[in-house]
Amino acid sequence: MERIINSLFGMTHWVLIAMVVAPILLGSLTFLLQKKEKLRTFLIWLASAVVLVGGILLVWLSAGNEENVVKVWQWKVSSSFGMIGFGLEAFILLALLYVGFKIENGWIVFLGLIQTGLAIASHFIGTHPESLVIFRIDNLTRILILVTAVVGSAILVFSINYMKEHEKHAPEGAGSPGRFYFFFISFMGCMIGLVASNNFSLFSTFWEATTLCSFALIGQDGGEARRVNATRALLINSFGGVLLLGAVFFLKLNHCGEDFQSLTGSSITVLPAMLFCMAAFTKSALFPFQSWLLGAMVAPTPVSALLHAATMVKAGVYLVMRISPHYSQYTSFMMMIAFTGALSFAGAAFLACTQSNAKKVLAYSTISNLGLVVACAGIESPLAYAAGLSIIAFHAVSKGLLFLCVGRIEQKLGSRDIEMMDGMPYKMPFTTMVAMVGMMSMLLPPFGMLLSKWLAIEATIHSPFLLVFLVTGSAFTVYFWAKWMGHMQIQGYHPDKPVEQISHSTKFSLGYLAILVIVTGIFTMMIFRHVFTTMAAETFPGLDMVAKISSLYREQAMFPAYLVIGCMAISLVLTAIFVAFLVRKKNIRPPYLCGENAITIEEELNPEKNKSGLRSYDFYSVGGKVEHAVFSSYYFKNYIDENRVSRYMNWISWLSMIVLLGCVIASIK
Amino acid sequence: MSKFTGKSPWVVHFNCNSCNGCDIEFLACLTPLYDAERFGVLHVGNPKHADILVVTGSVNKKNMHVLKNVYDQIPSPKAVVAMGVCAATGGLFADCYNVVGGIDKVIPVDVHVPGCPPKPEAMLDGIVKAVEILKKKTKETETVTEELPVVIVKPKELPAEPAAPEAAKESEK
Amino acid sequence: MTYIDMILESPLWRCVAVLILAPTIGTLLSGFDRKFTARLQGRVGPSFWQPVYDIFKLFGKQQILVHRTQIAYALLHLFFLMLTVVLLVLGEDLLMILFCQAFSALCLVIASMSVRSPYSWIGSQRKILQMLAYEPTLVLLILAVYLQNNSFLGAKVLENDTPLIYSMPLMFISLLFVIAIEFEKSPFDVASSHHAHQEIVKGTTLEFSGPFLGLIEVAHAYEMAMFFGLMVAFWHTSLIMGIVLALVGFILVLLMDNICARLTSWWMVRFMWTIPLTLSLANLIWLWR
Repeated sequence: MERIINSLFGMTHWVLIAMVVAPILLGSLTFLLQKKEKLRTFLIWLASAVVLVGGILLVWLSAGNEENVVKVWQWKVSSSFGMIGFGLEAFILLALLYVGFKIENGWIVFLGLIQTGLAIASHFIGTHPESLVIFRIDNLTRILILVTAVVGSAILVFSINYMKEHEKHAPEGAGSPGRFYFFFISFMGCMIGLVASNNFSLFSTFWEATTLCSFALIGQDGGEARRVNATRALLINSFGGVLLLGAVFFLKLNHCGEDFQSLTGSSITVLPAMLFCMAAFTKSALFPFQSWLLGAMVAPTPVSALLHAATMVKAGVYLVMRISPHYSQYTSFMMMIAFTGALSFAGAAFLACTQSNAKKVLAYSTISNLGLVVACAGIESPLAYAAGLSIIAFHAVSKGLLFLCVGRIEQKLGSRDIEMMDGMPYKMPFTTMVAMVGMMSMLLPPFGMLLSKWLAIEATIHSPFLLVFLVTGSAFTVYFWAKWMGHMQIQGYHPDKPVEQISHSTKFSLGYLAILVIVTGIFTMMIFRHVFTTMAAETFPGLDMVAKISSLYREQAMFPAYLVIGCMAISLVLTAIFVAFLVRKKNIRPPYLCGENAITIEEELNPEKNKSGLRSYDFYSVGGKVEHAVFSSYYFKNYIDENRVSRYMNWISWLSMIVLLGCVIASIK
Repeated sequence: MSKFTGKSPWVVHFNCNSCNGCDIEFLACLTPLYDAERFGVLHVGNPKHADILVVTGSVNKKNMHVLKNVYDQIPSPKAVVAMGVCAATGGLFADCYNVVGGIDKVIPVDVHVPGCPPKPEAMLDGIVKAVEILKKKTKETETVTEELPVVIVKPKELPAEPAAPEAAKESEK
Repeated sequence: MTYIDMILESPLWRCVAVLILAPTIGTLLSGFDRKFTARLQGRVGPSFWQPVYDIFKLFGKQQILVHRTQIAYALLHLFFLMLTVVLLVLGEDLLMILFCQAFSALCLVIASMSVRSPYSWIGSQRKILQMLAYEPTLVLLILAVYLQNNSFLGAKVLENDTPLIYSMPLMFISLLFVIAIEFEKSPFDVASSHHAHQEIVKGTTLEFSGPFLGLIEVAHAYEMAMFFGLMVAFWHTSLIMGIVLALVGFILVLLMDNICARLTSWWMVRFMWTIPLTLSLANLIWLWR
């Protein structure tokens, strides 16, 4: 047994390759066998199991066994073998050019050509070292692999039933489900490749591959709106690709090397680091590049979930987190990175308040959280860095869950408008409960998201400029979540226990994520203390950071999170007791409508007459006419125009980009 | 518990079909001159928080279900004060075609305060009397109102449109 | 004397003591409020113990409900406020305490939105606006405390030698506005009011009655005690001076309540995001040195 395990440790690189290749193979298989529905379902289950088990196995193996604890796992190959990376890069760039020609978009072709030129130039300039570290797994990578595996597999399982329904009323000209699954499953493989690769040519290969996959998935349903939005996503991300390859070219030109170890923090590498960060902003859809992520909402919901929670946008913040610890001495540079992040945090939260479209609210909230991660990376304190890491992890689970819930609600209700979500606890009890868990986890004290926000604010204390943005942004966050949570809870009294029609795969995926949210929520403090802080301490080079972090973090670590959880538990138990012993049918009254209630309580309790569960709110108006009350939240529609505010925000963020460039040029001298 | 009930009677005021005379006088009770709050009286605007329902005016066919609804939404123990003669018997309006009569036709009444309108002192006295009755009631002595047919006065239906002239001519032929 | 020492020493006893003391202080404060308001208006007013009678009365009434979920949120509202008070006494992280308080307010909002009564709906919408209005000011207050003590822990405040009011007088003024919102005082009492009729009847708490309204009243007492405690903490070196300061602040809020009319919720947000926020920021910048 031991021998098997030990030999497993020797095979980590094979597991990694399998994790990248197997999803692509399984995706192709699903594409080929899409007509056989049972087999297709089986393959999807298999793929999600492979991703989940493989991801966890990879994390475990790369962490090393007891005798041989390795913080960083590397795979070194000879230079000629490393050329494979260049071949793949060339292949993917050709694919990009092909797509550009096919959709007849000159800009994409132009950007693709620049990328190809840069890639070829950076390959042939200078000399290659004798051996290359092509894959490298450290703590940051492990978190992202876990996120992709755990959340991605749940989304994949959810998509089984969703796509079945979706197929039935898919618009004219929609792609086949096989096409969908091919790109969907390959996406996860590419993401794992992206975070694990160390060599720039492999990195940009996977970078472009995720861009192309997202382009294909956004355009899945065909039609003009999808085409426009998919093109925009491709265009913006290609621009990011140009920045990325430009940085690689610059590094190569200055003989700095061709992998992430070349970003040492020396002054010559500051400009490429900035270009990397800007490329990351396009991928993470921070202001001013936010438009592609909002447009991506036209895709089927599992795609949005995958883009937002598990993969695409996380790649961007991953890059920033990867680079930023080495550049802490360039204060103004880091300050501007943090400023861009904080601007996105507050701006996106503000715009989320004006939206009634559930998916758009989620999209803005994602941008807002990613902005917070970038701000954390820029603050340059180990505490903030740890907070950023924990946002990446916890946000993925909560947001994945929420997107899946919205997807399900959208299919059942036929609308993604928050205003239409009335009587949800009666119509869809399970989904509502799960969605409430997801939303609570965004705001409730012990849960990861709030913990991270808390630590971020505490870590920003010495940069007053950022603080204003963080404080206002967090107030807006409470505002838009509160509106939505209230809407989800609107209900009447029902004597019978409502039952929801839900398929097993959907219930499994939602329940799995919800349990994950609750469990991680309960153990947040512990996870944070033992995982994220130590990681952050190891990440920052130099000094005795472990000692420093414990002194910094001692106050926060003592917070008695168990009291909060206990409080929650006591209230729920007491509620159960009250419901069992105090709630009697004779005590139920309809709400106060000045006595003009149009329906008696008997009628309301009669399920025959009150199918929607909402008739109790009808009232007699002038002349005995029965009116149905309709309520709406504040959306500031008359005060704030989304487009105009976005335009202003974009101007400010372009301005901050220019300042960023200025800071970098100043720091080179 | 009855001790506390007596010390904090929260009042909801319902204008049933009144000429507003009693209402103005009743609101005058809250002014510094009469100061109903020294008895712990709070004028809450809704039945769900109230202990005492003060009704002014007679009941007509259109608002009897409203009165009953408001009464039913008060958590027991609760007391009802019929303020003024209209609330007691229908008063001046008793013979109107649409008037049902005093409010005791619809809900049980504990205290009648006579007058048209009653003086504020009489009103305060009525409320204090109601408090005495309220103290004796408990949660269990809830008076269930009988089920009333909901009477809604609907606008008169418009007469059917006269047939179009062509159609009329055709029918003549 | 030894008993008091024992209570002050052990955190458990301190928690128990504060859980009993806080609602007592809260109800006494609202009793004082009602008596004071009545005297200002030239009335005799209710008994000083009137809020106590009210709460006990409410627990003896019939449990009228609209639906079951209401109970859960009412309880969450109460328990999270209790938690806030306990954490404050344990000297925990102030920012986290603020988040607990915000969550408890959020529970009340969800409860009153869930019943689908138009009045309580509008009340809850305004309540969220209120939260939006005062949150930044409170966070800035806590950051100012950090700059003063170099720690986010509430316990560290007591270790400082000079009263906070010396270094943050502007913060105290903006805290008074926050307190006026929290206590539902004019001109900020848009979400629900302690006085008779208004256009949204009773706003957020409209659909709660009997014991459940009692729970919310108790929660309100906790909230009052907590904010009163915050004011006392501005002069933590001497308890008497602290209480005097807090009473002066409280009376100022009551005076404002009596001389102002209610204004719109939009005005409130605009006001809170301009004057008190600017005051707080000014104070903060000056603390930065």
